[in-house]
Amino acid sequence: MLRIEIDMFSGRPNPTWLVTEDEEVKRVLGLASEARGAVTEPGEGYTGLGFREVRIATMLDDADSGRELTMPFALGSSGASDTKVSGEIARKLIEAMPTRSEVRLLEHALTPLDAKLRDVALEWMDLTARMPAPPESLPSPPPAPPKPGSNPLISTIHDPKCDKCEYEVSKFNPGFWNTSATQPHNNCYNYARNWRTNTFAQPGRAHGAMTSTMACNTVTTAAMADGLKHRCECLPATQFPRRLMALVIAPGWDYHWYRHQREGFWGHKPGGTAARNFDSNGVVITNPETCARGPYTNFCSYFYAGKSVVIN
Amino acid sequence: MRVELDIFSGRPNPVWELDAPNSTALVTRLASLSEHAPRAVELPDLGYRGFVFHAETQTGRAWRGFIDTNGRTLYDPTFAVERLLASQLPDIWQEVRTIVERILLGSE
Repeated sequence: MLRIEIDMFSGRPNPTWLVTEDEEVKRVLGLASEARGAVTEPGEGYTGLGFREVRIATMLDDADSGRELTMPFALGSSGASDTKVSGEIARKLIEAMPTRSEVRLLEHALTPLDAKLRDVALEWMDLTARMPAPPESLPSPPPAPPKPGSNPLISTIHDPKCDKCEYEVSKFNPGFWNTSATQPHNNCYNYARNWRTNTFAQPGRAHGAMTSTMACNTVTTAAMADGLKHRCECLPATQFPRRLMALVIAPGWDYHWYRHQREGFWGHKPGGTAARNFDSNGVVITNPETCARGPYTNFCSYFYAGKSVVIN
Repeated sequence: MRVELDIFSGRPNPVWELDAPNSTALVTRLASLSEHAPRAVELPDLGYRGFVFHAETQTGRAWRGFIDTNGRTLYDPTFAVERLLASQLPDIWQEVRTIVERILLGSE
């Protein structure tokens, strides 16, 4: 899943959208990785008012950006060594923007992804392109050789609790979450779903079904409005990657989620604190039903979360 | 002064602005505390993790009688700082206030 942002505004939110379809993700990453010199790190080019660049980031801690791409990256930046190709790819992304609002984001209320905005973005991009080039521009490093095969960070496993079901487990990657820009803005629900929304996501909020009653049944209902399924309601392979999540409750107060990881343990992220794989006693979590959970005394259930689960 | 009660995992923590008299009281209380060696106990993952306060010149976390602020650790044996901040939790969080006060009682 990719997050694309046109960095162009100063006050209102930048035009931002998500790409959830695997084919489109591959297409965008393919365009970027094949165009040598088109990609830069964000912020390397023009940083003044107006169009600056198109930023592409992954929302998943186990995303395989493939080949030479390092996330996040920027296109259409004056810092690219090949600004022409970089601008052409950025233009294609911007031109498709009006069709990209199916996943609703909070930013869309103030910055709707319509044709008018697309035209302004393209116009501003041209204005920036006509500005004098900066005195120095560093060349991009040569691309690394491509990695064969599928995402090496994700494995598919059979669910031992339900014969016919499979889900995906990914390599524990707390470093993705434990940065000053990410950690405070993402909670246990973000971590368990593996989606960095930077909104301190709440079950059901993306679908108008949030609850203020902290109980297993209410939080379950809210989360299922986001698309979660009860464990053993097998998800098809088209929902790859499918997570196994566990819900616990501090009755009347709060909820908490865990995610099964490839190493066999469970990872979690308590509120705005660091992501980790150990419990309240400092013991690696091998079973969320029995691990030390402080006041989160009620174990509710397990859920699958496929790629169509949208949280906010 | 902005104060956050760090207690939840899923829901947003209670955050509020401490009024001027209580901000002054907090700063005065902090100035009266003695320095202590950094505490060896890690914050818990789930449950009460203390109060985090942010002022222009001073930020810190008060948790179970210790206050980490501006690179120093202060010892607050009577939990006065935490009690002060708990008492100022907005009424919307009255039940949480009761829980925290019970936790502080049990920590004595």
